[in-house]
Amino acid sequence: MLHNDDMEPIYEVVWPQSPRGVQRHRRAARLETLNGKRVAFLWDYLFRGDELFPVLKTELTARFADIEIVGYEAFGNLHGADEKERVGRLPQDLRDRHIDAVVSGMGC
Amino acid sequence: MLRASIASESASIPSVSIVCEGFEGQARATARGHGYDGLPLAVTVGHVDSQSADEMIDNFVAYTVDAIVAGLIGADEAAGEDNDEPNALDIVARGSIDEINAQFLNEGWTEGNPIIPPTRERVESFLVDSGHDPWKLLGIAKSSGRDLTIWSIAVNAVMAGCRPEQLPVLIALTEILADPRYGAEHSGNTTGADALIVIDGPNAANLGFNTGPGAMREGAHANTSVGRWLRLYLRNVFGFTVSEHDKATFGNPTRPVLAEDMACLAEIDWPPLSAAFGFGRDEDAVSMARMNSGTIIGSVFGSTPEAIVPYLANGLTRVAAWDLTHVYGLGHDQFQPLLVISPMIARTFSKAGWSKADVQRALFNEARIPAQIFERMIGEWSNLTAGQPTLVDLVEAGHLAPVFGESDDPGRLVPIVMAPERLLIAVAGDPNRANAFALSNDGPHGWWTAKGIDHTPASDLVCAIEHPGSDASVLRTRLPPG
Repeated sequence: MLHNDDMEPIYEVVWPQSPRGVQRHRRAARLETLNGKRVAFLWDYLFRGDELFPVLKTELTARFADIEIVGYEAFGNLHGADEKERVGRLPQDLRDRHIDAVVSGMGC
Repeated sequence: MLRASIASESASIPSVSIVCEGFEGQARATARGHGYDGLPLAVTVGHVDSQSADEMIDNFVAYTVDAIVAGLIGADEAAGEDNDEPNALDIVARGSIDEINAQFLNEGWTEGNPIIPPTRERVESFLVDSGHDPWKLLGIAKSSGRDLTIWSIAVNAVMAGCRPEQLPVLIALTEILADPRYGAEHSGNTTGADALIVIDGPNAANLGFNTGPGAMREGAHANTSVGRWLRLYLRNVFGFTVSEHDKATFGNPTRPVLAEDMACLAEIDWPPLSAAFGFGRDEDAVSMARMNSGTIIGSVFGSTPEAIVPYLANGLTRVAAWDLTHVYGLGHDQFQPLLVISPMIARTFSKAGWSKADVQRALFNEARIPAQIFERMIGEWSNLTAGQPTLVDLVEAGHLAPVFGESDDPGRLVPIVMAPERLLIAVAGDPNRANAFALSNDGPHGWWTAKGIDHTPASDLVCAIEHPGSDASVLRTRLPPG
């Protein structure tokens, strides 16, 4: 331990956080268009997604005539007691359904 | 919902996440904590819960839909920020105790109270007799992606003023935080629950934990410092600060550890709380859950169980509100409120020959609320249970026990939990007072999880074991991996 001119201790201290050991990933490649693509809606069954996702389906279909929407009902509630199991199955579930893109909500 | 987006990205499927205004920082921090920097967000104008349907939809169409489209199509962006953070042994601050405290406060590394400066020597001294490898990895913090190491536990323990003999308790708590059943990643949810640690077992008293008067208040070093360590660890390693993962609207003060009165439990032959999670009476254990709210049940008057059960049950119903969505909704059979009773109350039951299970059954039968109130709490008033089903609907769907749907009378009385054993009981506090405290838990968002406390010195550092007279310099031979 060091001291300053007034003989007060000087402390040299270490970092209270911890290295971010989690593996870093690149995000998936974006699409050129949503025309001809299967887009899945994923919902946590909270915060009025049941009102907004139908609106989103209408808006996306108006902009991309050949888009195919797979509703949130196909995947069930992705929050709550079964969250870990359901989210854990999600990558394979999305592949099995040949999903091209995902819209996930509601984080509120 | 970031976790669903991350699952999608892991399958090489592009995603965009809809978040309400004000949640962007938490969303970005969550993505970074899973190794995915820069996932696209589509932000709503304001929070949807307080908007009319027309207002919400107009805003959504005008502002959010474009962001959804932009998040899915277009050019790929480079990966996120480079890591310019310190290494574990780097000196991050140098100065007087005032200067260190000011810098830690400025960096967000304290909760506002003064800290003991975590010099390398103090941290090494904290660990040297434990035998633990400082770089042993107990898990990854789900929220931040940071390593849960013995070293990081010790740094925050020094800051909190913990003593080395408390390290086994801190390790057990870290194991709880790393356990997926606990759900530490939810520790910053908006309703702002905070953890309650309960310690029991034959050696709890030897560690200096107060079980008596003021059992849930600061005042005893062990209870206070271990409770404070949890707050610091959640800030510094899990990232629960307002700039990252903490979205608590209000929050609670840090709770000191609640230590059960083992002498009273032995006298009345009742199991401790940890027995509910599979631990024996001869084992030291910590149990932990995040608690929403609590209420005192004051001056419990009566000399028989029959006289005091109605009042205690009433206390439990008073902490059973929106959190009933953890019976079914946000959780499923995960509402497990805790009733802390003073030894005097516990003895009233025991003198009448009642076991803890007898008390739980009586409380289950007595702690009832009108079905209509239950349904409003989880449906109409909070909108937390999708579709706002009635309790009869949920019984018919197999989600609830038949007792919740014995008629469709909205005024009928229904339980607040699925089964008697869901009403947890602990014994602590002033032995000469008849008071109780009821607390409600936050379901899967910090669910009751218990771990044993292993006091045995580790054998990770063989050199330390072989040279018992050695000092902290032993640890200097082991640098962090990488």
